[in-house]
Amino acid sequence: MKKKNFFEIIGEKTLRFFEGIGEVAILLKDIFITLPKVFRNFHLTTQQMLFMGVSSLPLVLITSIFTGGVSAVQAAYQFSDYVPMRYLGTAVGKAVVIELGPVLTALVVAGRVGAGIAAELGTMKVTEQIDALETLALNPIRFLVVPRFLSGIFMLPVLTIFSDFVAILGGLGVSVFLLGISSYTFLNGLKLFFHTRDLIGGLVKAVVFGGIIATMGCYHGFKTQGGAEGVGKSTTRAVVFSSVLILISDYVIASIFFG
Amino acid sequence: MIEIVDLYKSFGENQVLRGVNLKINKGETVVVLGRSGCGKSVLLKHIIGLLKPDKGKIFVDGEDITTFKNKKLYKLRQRFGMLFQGSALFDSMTVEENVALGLREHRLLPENKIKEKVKKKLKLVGLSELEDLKPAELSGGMKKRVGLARAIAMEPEFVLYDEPTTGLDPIMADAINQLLIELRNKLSITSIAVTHDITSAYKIADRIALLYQGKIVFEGTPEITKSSEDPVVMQFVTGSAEGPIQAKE
Ligand SMILES: Nc1ncnc2c1ncn2[C@@H]1O[C@H](COP(=O)(O)OP(=O)(O)OP(=O)(O)O)[C@@H](O)[C@H]1O
Ligand SMILES: [Mg+2]
Repeated sequence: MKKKNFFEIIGEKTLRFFEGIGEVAILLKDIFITLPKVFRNFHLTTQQMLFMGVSSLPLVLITSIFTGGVSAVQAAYQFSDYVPMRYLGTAVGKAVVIELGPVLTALVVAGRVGAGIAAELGTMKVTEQIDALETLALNPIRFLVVPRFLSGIFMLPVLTIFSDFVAILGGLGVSVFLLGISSYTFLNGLKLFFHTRDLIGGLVKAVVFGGIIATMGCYHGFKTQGGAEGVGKSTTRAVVFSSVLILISDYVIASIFFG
Repeated sequence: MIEIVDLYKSFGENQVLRGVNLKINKGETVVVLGRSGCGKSVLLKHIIGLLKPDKGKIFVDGEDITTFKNKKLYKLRQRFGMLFQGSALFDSMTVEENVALGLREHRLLPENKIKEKVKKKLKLVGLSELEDLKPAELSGGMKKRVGLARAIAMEPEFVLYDEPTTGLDPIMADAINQLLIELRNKLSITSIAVTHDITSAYKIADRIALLYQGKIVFEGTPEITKSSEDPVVMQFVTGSAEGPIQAKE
């Protein structure tokens, strides 16, 4: 084959990129068209939800408790002598509910569930199981994608609520045992400037992140080509793309809600 | 009736089908022979709409299915069954669930009837005891037979078999041949089978077609095939490395 020059490579990559955006858009359109039919086979969705929740919960809880702890340590350090410690709970609470809870949960789930979806669908693709579904007149979007998508947008907020709760407990624990702040002070601070909007903003993020993780997992799974190596590549791609998109959309949603 | 008209398909530079013409009458079994990599599986996938041709038409009972989309395509596929070359069993499901999937998800029958029917189909392919195993626990030949049971579970009018007897011992292979013949005789299923197994081809075929260099170069009954003097056909049927077909291309 002829060696390609620099501009050809750039051109090709750019084309591939926009092609990818188009394909994801088509996938999303198909998901929304198929959505109303989900109740005909709702057991598939509940299965996915269970799997997603159960498989990620331990990991989410562990990351959250330490995240809460570190955010308390960090906030106390930044406050030093300038901000009274009664605002520590406020700082930890806001950081966790708005930002850390949703984002870290999403990143953990992307690594766990997103990768799993891409690997599973990728294997099904290369072993012709997706084709086999088609020949049984079963639409893969309806049977594979929609259940995962719904489970993503539903379970991520649920996991985020767990994460928020545990992270705040982590922050509280660190404050009480290491920083010498009473739990009364911490909790009062937490309540002080608590807005429902913060919680809702965080959960809206979680819904979007869940959609991103499931969509990327399914998209890269379906695009898999060429055996075990291909499955490995798609899995990596699914995780990388969801992580980047999570951080980008985090910024976008934050500027809409809190900007 | 299935009629394939002037079908072309390339993958990049690789021209696989270059004007395939083939007609399969109702209730008939046509066996497609051809070398490894000549496009037999690709041809089957076109007939059930898994691949779209670059050019050409496929008529099923007079309707061109290459233009079918979504709803119509899925409706059509309910009339088809397909056995994949690599079986393509769903590895997250048990044998029983694999065979029952189509019936269950389309709600074609009440659950107890489905159970009964799946049992019957598994018995037909000689796998009664293995219902609760996962595909990973089966041998290659067993997978093939589960694939076959799944292909015929919804009692399709048309069945596409991609190498139904490959990987089976000669006794089981003959049992499967018998089954295919029975399906044709009793249920008048129209089928296309792809195989390398000449013995099986002679047994099950009403007609044999040879796919070579992207075209059907020969069609005829098993008798005509046996006595054909066409050098390509003769070489294929006798399985010789000498002749117009080069072992390496
Ligand atoms: N999805 C695909 N993408 C690219 N090339 C493909 C694809 N499917 C098949 N091909 C190519 O098409 C050609 C025919 O493949 P096919 O699987 O139909 O062969 P076959 O006749 O079934 O061979 P065998 O008897 O070994 O199964 C091969 O050269 C293969 O590389
Ligand atoms: Mg093949």
